[in-house]
Amino acid sequence: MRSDDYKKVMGRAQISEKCREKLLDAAENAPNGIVVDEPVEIIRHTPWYRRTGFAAAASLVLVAGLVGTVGVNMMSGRDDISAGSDICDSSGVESDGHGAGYCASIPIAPPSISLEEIVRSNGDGMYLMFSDENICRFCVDDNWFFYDFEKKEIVFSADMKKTFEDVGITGTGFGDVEWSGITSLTTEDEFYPAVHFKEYDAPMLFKLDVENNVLMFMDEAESAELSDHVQREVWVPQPDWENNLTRCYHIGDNDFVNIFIENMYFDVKEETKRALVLERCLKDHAEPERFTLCSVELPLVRDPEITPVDDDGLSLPIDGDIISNFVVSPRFIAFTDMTCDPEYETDYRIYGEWFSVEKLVDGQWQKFYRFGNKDYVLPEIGYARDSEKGGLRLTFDYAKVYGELEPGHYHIETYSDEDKEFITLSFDFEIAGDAE
Amino acid sequence: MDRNKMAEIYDQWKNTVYRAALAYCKSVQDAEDITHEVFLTRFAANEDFPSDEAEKAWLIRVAVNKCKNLLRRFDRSRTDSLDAAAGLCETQAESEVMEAVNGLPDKYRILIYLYYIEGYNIREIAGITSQTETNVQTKLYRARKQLKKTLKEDF
Repeated sequence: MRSDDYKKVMGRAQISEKCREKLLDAAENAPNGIVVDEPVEIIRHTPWYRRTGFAAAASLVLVAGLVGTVGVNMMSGRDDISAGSDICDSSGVESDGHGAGYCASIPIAPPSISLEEIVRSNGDGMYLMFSDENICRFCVDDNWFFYDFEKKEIVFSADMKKTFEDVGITGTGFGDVEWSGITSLTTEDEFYPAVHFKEYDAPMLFKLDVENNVLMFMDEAESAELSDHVQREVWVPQPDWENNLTRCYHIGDNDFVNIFIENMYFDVKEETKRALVLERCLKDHAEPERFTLCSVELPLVRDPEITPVDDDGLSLPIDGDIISNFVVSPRFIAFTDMTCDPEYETDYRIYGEWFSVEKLVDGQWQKFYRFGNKDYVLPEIGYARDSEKGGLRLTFDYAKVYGELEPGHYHIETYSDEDKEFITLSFDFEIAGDAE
Repeated sequence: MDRNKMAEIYDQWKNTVYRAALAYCKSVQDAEDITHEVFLTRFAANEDFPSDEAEKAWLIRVAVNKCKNLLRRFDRSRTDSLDAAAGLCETQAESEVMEAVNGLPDKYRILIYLYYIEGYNIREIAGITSQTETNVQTKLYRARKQLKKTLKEDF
């Protein structure tokens, strides 16, 4: 194994002796060193979204909610939808005096999901619901917010402290929905509270109106201005369904360059023994607020309900590097015989690979739009170890996003999340008329 | 913290920190600077760790983050050569391996180092590098794949 050579070489690397005295002298003469913050979880006595009034809270929360979760759902483009101002109340809310508030890690429910569908967050409780009243509702802790499609604003309702049961939610949680792609606009040192949902025919952007504390659509000029900024993919960590612990979004390739915690962007300013000292990135270049957070460990996702492949599905050998075979049915697709490194300890994993589905129409591969023109992909696909074969199996219930596939020729491709380059994993498959 | 205590800590972990920094930065000078900064941070923290392993992991994590900051600031990756490792190689095979490893992107190289040299498992690496385990797995897989392609042999 060539790794043995690597070990030998690195084992010879030793720091120069001259560095020792230089360091000790410097350390002895250092005035006070750095300040090590106490390892508190979050130094905030009041949830930040309540601190300066609920409106700001609602806006900021929902900016993040949009960034992470809500926007696609809300952006269903239905101009006929009106929440009605009678349900909106601008009175403040009581502070519970502590707590991180909510969790931002909520998967996106495609707009086509039943309006009764709910996406439920974990832990601290941010909830979405699309009711048959065509009102987009959110619950952050016990506070309900509404998206007024007519006014294009997010508003708070102190009167509507409803529970899941109150609104008749029969929703199912994370397992039933999938993320869609999101692109946020950031620069090196600041975050624009804007979201670009590339799934839509006309990309739309939101902005946070700081003065009025509302979330607004951007006009074309503003969108164009923001579009000049660096666009980065938002890496969305998987929520931990078991432990209800997800608080952190990573940007780019997961460096802690900017992190997105609880709906806000931060820069890491210091890292101490047990905490990250962060500065919040603000649009207006005001003095950043300073928080201390525990280092966030993103737990491995375990989907308790990964669905087995339909035995009646078609099976095709595939010449691929990682995936050598897959099984597809009108409802499920499963990649099997995948490369599995026995050195890995975990028996289940989610790579977060993205796949898109194309359909052969009149000799041309077209993006497969199951619902209108929404360019969904198959995100966050889980890899489960197949104990019998010793390999990995990936199963995705695309019917929940696309609906069951009709007979025809399809094409799946994926791209590398490294360098954002498309890679060659590409598989054709056919749903035969008698496959069912 | 008195000088003797600092010296004790430094002597215990100096090469661990230095190698991690060297693996990441590929530059002896940068690695020495990073090591210097890491230990200054450690001394300033002046806290007892529950175990040596905890202290080691913390030191490496700080080193990795300082390396990231350094490379981000100066984009060293475009200008650094592979000279750092050259003096350490005794055989042609070792040189080939080091060239292949140093040809990896930074984010892969440090994972290779932590996995093979420090012997951390996926979960530990994920904690040290502030990534998800799945990302570490993916990157390690891709790093190995790239090394295998370069070296024409399993790494």
